[in-house]
Amino acid sequence: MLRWLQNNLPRIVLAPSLVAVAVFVYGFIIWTAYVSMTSSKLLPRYDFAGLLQYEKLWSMPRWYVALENLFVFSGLFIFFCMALGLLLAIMLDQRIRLEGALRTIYLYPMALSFVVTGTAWKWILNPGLGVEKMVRDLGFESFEFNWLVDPDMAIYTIVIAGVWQSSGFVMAMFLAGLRSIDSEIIKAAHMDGASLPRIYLGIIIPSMSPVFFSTFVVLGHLAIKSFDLIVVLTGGGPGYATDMPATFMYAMAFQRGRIGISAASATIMLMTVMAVVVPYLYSELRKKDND
Amino acid sequence: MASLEIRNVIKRFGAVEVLKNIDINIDDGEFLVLVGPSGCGKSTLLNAIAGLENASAGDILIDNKIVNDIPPKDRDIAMVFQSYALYPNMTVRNNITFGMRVRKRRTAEQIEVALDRVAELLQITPLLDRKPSQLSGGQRQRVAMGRALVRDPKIFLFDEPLSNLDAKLRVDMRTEIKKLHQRLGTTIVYVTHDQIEAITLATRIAVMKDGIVQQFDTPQVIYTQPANAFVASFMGSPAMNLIPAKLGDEDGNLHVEVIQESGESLSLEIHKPEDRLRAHVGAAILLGLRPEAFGDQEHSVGINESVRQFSSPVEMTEPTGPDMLAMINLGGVEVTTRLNAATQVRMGSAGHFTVDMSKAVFFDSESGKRI
Amino acid sequence: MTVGRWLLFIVLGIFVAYFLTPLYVMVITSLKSLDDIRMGGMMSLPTEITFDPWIKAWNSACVGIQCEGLNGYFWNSVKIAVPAVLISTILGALNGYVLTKWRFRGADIVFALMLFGCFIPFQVVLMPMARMLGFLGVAGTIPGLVLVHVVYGIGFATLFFRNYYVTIPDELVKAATIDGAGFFTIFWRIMLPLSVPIIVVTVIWQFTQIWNDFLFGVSFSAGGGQPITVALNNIVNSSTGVKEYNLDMAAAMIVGLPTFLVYVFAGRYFIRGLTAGSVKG
Repeated sequence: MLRWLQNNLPRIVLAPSLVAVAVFVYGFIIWTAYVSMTSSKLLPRYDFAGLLQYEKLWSMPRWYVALENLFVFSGLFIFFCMALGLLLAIMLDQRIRLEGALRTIYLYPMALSFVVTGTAWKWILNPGLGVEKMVRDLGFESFEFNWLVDPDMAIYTIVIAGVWQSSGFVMAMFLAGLRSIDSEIIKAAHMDGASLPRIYLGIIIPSMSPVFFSTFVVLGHLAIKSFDLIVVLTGGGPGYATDMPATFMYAMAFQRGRIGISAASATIMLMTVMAVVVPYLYSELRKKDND
Repeated sequence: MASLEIRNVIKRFGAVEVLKNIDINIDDGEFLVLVGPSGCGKSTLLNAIAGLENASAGDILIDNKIVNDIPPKDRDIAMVFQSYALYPNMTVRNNITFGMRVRKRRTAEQIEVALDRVAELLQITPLLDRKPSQLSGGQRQRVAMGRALVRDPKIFLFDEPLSNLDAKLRVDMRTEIKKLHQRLGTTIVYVTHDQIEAITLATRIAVMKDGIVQQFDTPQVIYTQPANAFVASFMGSPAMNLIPAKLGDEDGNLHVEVIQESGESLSLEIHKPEDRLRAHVGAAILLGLRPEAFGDQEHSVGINESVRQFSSPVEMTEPTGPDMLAMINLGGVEVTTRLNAATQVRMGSAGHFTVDMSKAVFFDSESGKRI
Repeated sequence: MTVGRWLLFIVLGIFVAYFLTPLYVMVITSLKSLDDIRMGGMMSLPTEITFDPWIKAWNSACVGIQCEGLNGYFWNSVKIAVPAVLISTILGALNGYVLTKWRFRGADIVFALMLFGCFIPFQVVLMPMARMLGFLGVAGTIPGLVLVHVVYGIGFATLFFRNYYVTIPDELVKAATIDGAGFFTIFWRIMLPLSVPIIVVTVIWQFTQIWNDFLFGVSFSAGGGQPITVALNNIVNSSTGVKEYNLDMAAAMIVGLPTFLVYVFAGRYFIRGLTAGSVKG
């Protein structure tokens, strides 16, 4: 008995975590996926209703708004974070004396909660007293900036706040990527007479494609999960103009009492994330095996 | 101090067999070296002796007692690792005494006495309160040995202990390990890929390749009578020349025929051929000659009946200091000869060579086995 | 200095302003009176510095119908974060140790399963989790939230420790085994003393994640047991009464302060951990 215990100690130590993950991750995923195929409304029912909930889901205008917003938000969020992040990283890579301080300033928003970020930007962008008033006070009396309450524009305020929070983090990833490139390659390129932009465009950036991939996955993942920022900044409004799948799912589950539809939307979110993350994890794990 | 016996040990990782029926037996106080190229299974075998890995089949006996099911800590062995594996968070003192403190079988005074003895033996007393990161490579090596020595184990296991040292230090430490063995008389199993280390240190060598012991014998026998072409080319530096040749019989006198670079055939009479060679007359063989079996004619001392003479263009010369290596072409392969440093043989011109056929060995060119 | 160099510094300076302006606006707004806010511009310094918004945010701001300020919720978050960080870090360390130094058949699959758990959108577990917490009798309580954060923190904690322990040579464990140390002795006396950098990284990461969490907090807590992020949202998005921006900013800064301070004082490890964790994946 003691012997058995000793031999299996490592597995015993691992077991609680493994059980927790099995139940709370995989068990729960199965539960949600199953409930999405039942006729559940206010309470879960364990009958089988096929794709009923998915049919209902795809007939809701609000779901289409959520998807469209997700599409717009992720596209802009990923693009601007990457562009700013790369620009900042390349600039910081030019042997700047204050690099440490600048890096700290660019990165600190990452330490804040989206709730805090949302609160700050909600104040800055509010039409009455924020940026709009500031510009008007400068003498542009007719200046208008009311995106926060404009159903067509509100989604872009979320992009603004999201990019502000995350681009420093992207910079850190790119900077690490730039620093990991063999400096001898760059020296060799200098010897060959290549100019600095040439070296970045022709040599450094192409060899950073794994970092681009990682960054894309992390940002895409953040975008799909984004919830806090929307709730605080716009509350999904005006109306449901800034709803996204995450807020949609939450509203259906906890406010509207439509568990089946909520489960269906959660399942679709999971599959979207998996489409992005699984190939990434697979390639990362494979890479490690080859090392 | 103990004998060690390895009986038909097999080790599989999944479907791959990394040790194939290993059979080795050494007496108390011997210095066994396991040598071979990387991936030959030597480290796996050492781990199996230590108990860090279990053999899939077969027995390991320490002091005639089967230890298959005894965990490493109870086998009464100590091990020195390639990376030294010193605990980075502990001082030298704590590194050396960690094993004794964990076992809790000795009093603090006993531990102190053992520590002092080992520290003095290895001359590391001034280093006892330092951390491994504050030590040089050679000092770390000593501490690692101290950690092994302090427990007075039955068998010492060394896993390529010198491969991380620079060339000069490696030679010094080699000498020290040898002295240590002579002084303590403990049984040692030592893994290395360096054949010079193997020959200098061992009382017995097991040459391994592909999980098989190719030859298990004393260094002298392994050097002069390698069991097969692999052992011949692996042991010794520069390696033994393996020259494609044909065995001929002229009125009962056996000779080998080697094609020279010019296309002419060189016939070398074999000195006191053994009878089993006769079965291979007319067959293609490999003629094994170490570089030092050759000489140049002007410096040949004590020419005797086993020495043959020939001429060959010299492709390249490499002075090593004490000797001159000259490369010639025999049998279609490059042959290294070791000549007197003062030789007149020059690159690009013909040299006059001698070869001592009493030092020749012969291998079957198909199987590589010695005839 | 060349023109290019000047340009570089100008652009870098613009970005400094971009990242610092919201912080500046928050600070000055939180120190203004409401009148001051209405009269002056968003960027202008307060005519008179007042700490009332801070005091009110801490002591008497209305969260929902309760008007007792943020201080109770602040301690809720501490009570959630501290145990959850400790437990998930310890489990992560043990898991990483087993998965690298005591490998068994299937260890890689176990790791991949845990890793995948880091990346799921939590929406997919919200409803079953709510039911599970009810079933365990901890719905709406602080221990319930601790459980949630531990369970979903294990993946990242394991990832950090595993990637770190992979770099510690196996020979160290072999040497300790021959020295007579067992599973826990090796962990306690050899591995943990070497783990300080990764413990710091994991603690910072987990603390930031848990402190900043909103989704679990808003889904699984109620009334006086809510974490501070949820309370902040309730203050900011309350639809009753006058909009007190100075109070909102002071409250937001109280929420952001702990993670901000952790970042400023231990930021170097934080950056290293973030990049190590996500680049190496």
